[in-house]
Formats: sequence, C-alpha cells, structure tokens
Amino acid sequence: MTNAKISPKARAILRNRPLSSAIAMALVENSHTLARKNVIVTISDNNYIIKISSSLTVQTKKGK
Amino acid sequence: MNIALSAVIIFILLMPPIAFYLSFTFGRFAKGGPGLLEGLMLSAIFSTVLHGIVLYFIKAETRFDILALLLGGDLKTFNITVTNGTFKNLFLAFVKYNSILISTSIIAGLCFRWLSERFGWHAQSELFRLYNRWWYLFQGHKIQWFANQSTPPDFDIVFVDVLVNTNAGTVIYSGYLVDFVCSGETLDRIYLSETIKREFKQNSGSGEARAIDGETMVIPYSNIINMNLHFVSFPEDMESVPGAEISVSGE
Repeated sequence: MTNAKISPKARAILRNRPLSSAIAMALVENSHTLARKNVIVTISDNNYIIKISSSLTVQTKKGK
Repeated sequence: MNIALSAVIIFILLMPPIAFYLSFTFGRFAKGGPGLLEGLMLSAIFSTVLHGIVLYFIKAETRFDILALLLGGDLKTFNITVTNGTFKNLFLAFVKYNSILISTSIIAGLCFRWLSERFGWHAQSELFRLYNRWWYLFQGHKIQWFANQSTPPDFDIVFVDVLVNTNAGTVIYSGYLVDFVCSGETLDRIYLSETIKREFKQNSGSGEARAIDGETMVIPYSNIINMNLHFVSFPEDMESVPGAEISVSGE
C-alpha cells in the first residue's frame, strides 16, 4: 500500500518497466515544455499522448 | 489539598471535545493539532458549553457540592457530607454520564469526518480539513484551489523533478512519486520510482539524463531544495502496450 495517488492504469504501466522507464525519460527530456504541453511517446509506430494536467513548483525553505 | 484527584476529574470533564477532535482527525496524514495551550483552552470552552447543554436536560439532582469538594481537594469533611453508599451511586452516575457523553462525541466526530469526506468539505474549508498540507498537494487539491474547481484534476500519477543537495553538488532527480512519509505537517521523505538523475547547472539548465538502477529511490526532505510536480494522465489504451521500440517527442 502506498500513500501517493497511483491509478490502476498507472500501476499497470509501472509494472511494465521498459515502458514506464521510457515514459519517465520522455517526461525528463521534455521537462522544459511540460508546464504547457503534452508529450508524445511513439511505440511501434503508434503515437500515445501523455497528458500533463498541471504542474506545480514547491519551494522549500532552502530553495532560492 | 489533593491536586492529582482534581486534575483527573478536570481531565475527564474536558474529554468529550478532545474525543470529538481525535475521532474527526484520526488516521494517516492527520492534520497537525493545535498547541497544548490552545487545545486546553478550546477543550475548556467547548466542554463548558457541552456540559451546560446536557445538564439543562438532566432533571435529576446534580450534587455539585460533592464535585466542588473533590475539585477543591479538601476532603476533611467528605465523610460528613456524603456516605459511602451515596458516593458509590454518585460515582456510577458520573461514570455513566461521561461514558455517554464521550461515546456520543466519538460518534459525532466520525459522522462529521464521513460528511466532510463525502461532500469534499475537507478540501475546501480549513475548519473541516482532515489531512496535512502535503497530502492535499500530492493528491492534486492545490490545483483544484488554484483553478477554483470543485474537484481535483483527474490524473494517474505524479511525476516529480526534485532539486537535491548532495555531497557531489546539486542534482535533479526525476521519477514517479510512489510514496511519501510525513510527520505531522512536515514531509519527512519521498519515494520515487524509475528515477532519472541529472546534474544541475546554474546557467545552462541540466546535464545529461541517466537512469538510476533499482526499484525505488528514497529522498529525505531535508536535502530537497525544491520540487516540481507534474500531474500526469496516461492514454486509455496504453497499459497493454509492450515496452519495445519506443521513441519520444514533445507536442
């Protein structure tokens, strides 16, 4: 049991390590555009759009 | 003067509001409670009102003289004021009165908790807030507040970029937020899956991204400088996709 929100769909994707790791890399490589845009992951010639509903930055006391 | 006895009696009389509050906010990620002084003051105020209301409806005689005698702690005249048998009956009535009041408070607290969750009041009002602030942040409720929506956005998972102080310098760790631990209102650590590491460069963004081996990475909050959260939704038909021949691009 985890405390973070992980939908059943996300759990299934996390179990598929190559897929979840590729999506993570896609999100990182497009991190400069994440605030406004979505990321397209192409798998076997099929395009999948990973939607970013919102982005939030949390500044800690140490943050500048 | 028996201070311990009067302290115990006063504590028992203060218990109904405390029982209500604890049953309303119990559980994981419970919000931080008021300080000791504030808590005692609030308990005293609510207890006085509550006992006043209940006593208004009790028609039988209430022996305040015995209560005052016990609270005062001067028990020299106790055996003159009350016999053993009478005190037994009064004591049983006191236990019954407090048991009913405390049980009712617990049930009322649980009912309020259920209503607060059922109608989403806990996310909209500070008065009905049930969980600590990190829980609301990671569940997307902050977005709900900012966007003035009635429900938080629908998303599958949170993807986090964390700027972390390490011995080797400042590093950005990115990954799926799979778990987090809080102590009261303070975040203690976060757990990331599929973690990717990049060197943080002050003027030229970030360095090359390198995936970190391992299932889960734990990052203590004390080392975190800031966090960037992305609320990610996966397409409907993606969960059955095999992880082969993958390429990515921004839209």
